[in-house]
This record gives sequence, structure tokens and C-alpha cells, in this order.
Amino acid sequence: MDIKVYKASGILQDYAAGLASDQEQREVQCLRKIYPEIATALAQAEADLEAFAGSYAKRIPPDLRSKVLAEVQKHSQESPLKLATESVKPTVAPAPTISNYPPASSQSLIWFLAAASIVGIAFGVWQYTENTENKTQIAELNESNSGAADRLIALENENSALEAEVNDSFKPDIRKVVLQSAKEGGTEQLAVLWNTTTGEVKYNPSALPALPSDKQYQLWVLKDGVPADMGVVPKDSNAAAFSSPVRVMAGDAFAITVEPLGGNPSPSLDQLVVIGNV
Amino acid sequence: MDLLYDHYGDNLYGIVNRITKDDALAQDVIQDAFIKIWKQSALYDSSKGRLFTWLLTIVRNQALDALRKIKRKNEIRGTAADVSLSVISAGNENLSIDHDVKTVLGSLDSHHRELLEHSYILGFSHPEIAEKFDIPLGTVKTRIRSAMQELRAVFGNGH
Repeated sequence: MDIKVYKASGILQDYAAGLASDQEQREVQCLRKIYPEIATALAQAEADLEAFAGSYAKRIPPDLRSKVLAEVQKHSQESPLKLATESVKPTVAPAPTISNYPPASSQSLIWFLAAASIVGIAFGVWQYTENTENKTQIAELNESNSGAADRLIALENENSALEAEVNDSFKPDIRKVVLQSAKEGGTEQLAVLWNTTTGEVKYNPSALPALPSDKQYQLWVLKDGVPADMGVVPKDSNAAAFSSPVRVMAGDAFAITVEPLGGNPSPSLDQLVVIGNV
Repeated sequence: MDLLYDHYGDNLYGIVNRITKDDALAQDVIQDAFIKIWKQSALYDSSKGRLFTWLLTIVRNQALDALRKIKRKNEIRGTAADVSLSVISAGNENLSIDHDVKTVLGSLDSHHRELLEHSYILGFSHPEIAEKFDIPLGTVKTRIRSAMQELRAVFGNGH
């Protein structure tokens, strides 16, 4: 990632001004943790803008202070439950009094009691149904919540792995070898991170175009013009960095070719996709 | 909350006043905004940005909502460019900012100040700024970047 280009894109200023979209906010929050340079630039932009906002300062009327703080105090005394329910408080009909009851004729009284019983039974049935539905909904929500928690843990693990990858790539014994397209005008490009101390080779296979189901990419290392197999590139890998199963301590160049599924003992040079000198 | 009010009150009130251009409305907005700040205080995450940026976002949205309610937003925003420097040259008794910073900020390129004001203070998006000033979106982004560089130069030299 080109940090200079990113800093110049204006996204940090938007973030500092509180105008970035949700997606941009997530992106900046992630990148500021990975790149100290971005964190510094962002802190600087925020501080500058805060100072700029200071030029608009106007003495707040003294009597407003007590009014505002009293209002805040008033709200702080209200329980969260009350705050949450007060906007949906149902209208409660006045409780019936003796005078509201129907005339005391026996027939009317029977009809009234019958109607009240029907309403009572209907309410009971409704309550039972509602209760059952609520229980089902709570169970569904618990399940959904548990799924979300699992996904969050998976994402956090993925994020930690990515951060570890990024930190690894800055170690002094890591050499970055850029593999360019072997075809004239080709745009394929891939970077290989080679740990010259441990011999581990990592790269991001998703940077390469998709292949037919019977083909597979294969990585090679060239030493004095002789290619050595570094293993095939897994077809279904979504990982940001794939570690080659073969370690190598010396090499002049890395290359990737297209081979039949499972790989070849020697490279098909006419199928060379990308190559880069160490 | 008292500390928050005492520390940021003047800055936030000045910005709300700049947006609403109405003292009474600005005072209502500040009151509602501080209640909202209190209610949402658990949502503030210092790892995501400065406290002032968070406060400003709440206060600015509250001011813009208030304007929308009284259907005066377009009228107020329409005159924003005309008075962009008025705050700097306004009566000193109202300004709690120290004179050095005020002078230094006053030396900002007027176009830069105007863009920063629309973007940061008045909450215009880049496309809205492009439409208002009738300039391409790319130019808006470039000029805001230059404005930020100038701001950095201003505060990088002694502030």
C-alpha cells in the first residue's frame, strides 16, 4: 500500500472532519492501527481542525450554563427504562367506576358479564400466543447473537493474523521481490516476501487471475538459471498471505507458471505468468 | 459534564452560532446537544478519534436538524460564503480564542478558509461544496488538501 497516496487522497481530512462514510471510517480505523504514519497524519489533521474550529469560539452566555447542566442532571435522574418506554407509553383508559357500569337490569348484567368473559378469554389466548411467540423470538435472537459473536471472534482472529503478517513484512530479514508479467503489456503482478533467515516464502495468490479447473499456478525459484519447485498455489485459498510449503535459502529469481492440476516437476516456460529478480 | 461544558462550550457554541446565525436557536441547540452528549457518552471511543471531533459531530448534526425543522437550512447555507470571515473580524468581546491564533488563522488564504468552513464547520459534503461553488469534485478535494496543508503550515510554525 502506498501510504503517501493514501494520505493525499483526502480521506483522513474527511475522517477528522467527521464527514467520512461508515465504510471509510472502518477503513481508516483499521489502517491507523497498522500504519503509524497514518495515525500521526490523522492526529495532526484532527488537532489542526480543532484549532481551526477554535477561531469560531464565542463566549457562551453565562446563564446558559446552569440551565444546560440542570437539564442534563434532570435526564440523568431518569432511569434508562423510563427513557426507553416513555415514548411508547400506551394510553390507559380510566378504570371503570360503579357509575360506568350498565343499568342494573338483570338481562343487561348477564350480557355485560358474558361480553367481559369473552374479552377475558380472548385476552388470555392472545397473551398465551404472544408469550409463545416472544419465547420463540428470544430463542432466535439468542441463536443469532451467538452466531454474530462467533463471526466477531473469527474476524478478530483474522485481523490479528493480518496484523501479524503486516508486522512480519517489516522485519529487516524480509526481502520483497516483485514479480511482473512475463508478457509484453501484461498487467499481472505479485509480490513475494522472502525471509532470508528462515527461508520462508509468502505471497498473496488472490492477486493472480482465476484459472480453469484443470490448471494450477506453480511457484519456482531460479538459482544460476536452474528452476526448483516451490510448490503449487492452492486454488481455493482466500488467505491474504500463503506460505510456500518449500523453504529456500538461496535464489536469483522467483517465477510463477500455469501447470496442470497438481503441478509439474519442471516448469512449462511457455506458460510463464510472472517473474522477478531478487 | 461540567468540565466538558467549561472546556468546549465556547468553541461549540461559536460553531452552532455560525451555523444557525441565531443566538436563541443556538442556545436551544447547545442545550439539546449536551443532553444528547450525556445520553450517548458511553458510545464515545477514544481509539476512534479526538473527543472534540465526536462532540462537534453531535453538535453540528443537532444544529442542522434544528435548521431543517424550521426550514431555514437553505437560506442560512446560502449566505455562508458571504460571511466566512465575519467571525474573525467580529467583536473581540465575543471571541474567547487568543489573539495570536486568531491572527494566524486570519492569514489563511480566504478560499481555503471558505472551503474548510463549509466542510468542517458547516458539514457540507464534497459533492455539496462542488455544487455550491460550481467547481469539479476533484478540484474540491485538491483544494481542501491544500487548505489542510496551509493549516498545518500555520500550526506547524509556532502553534
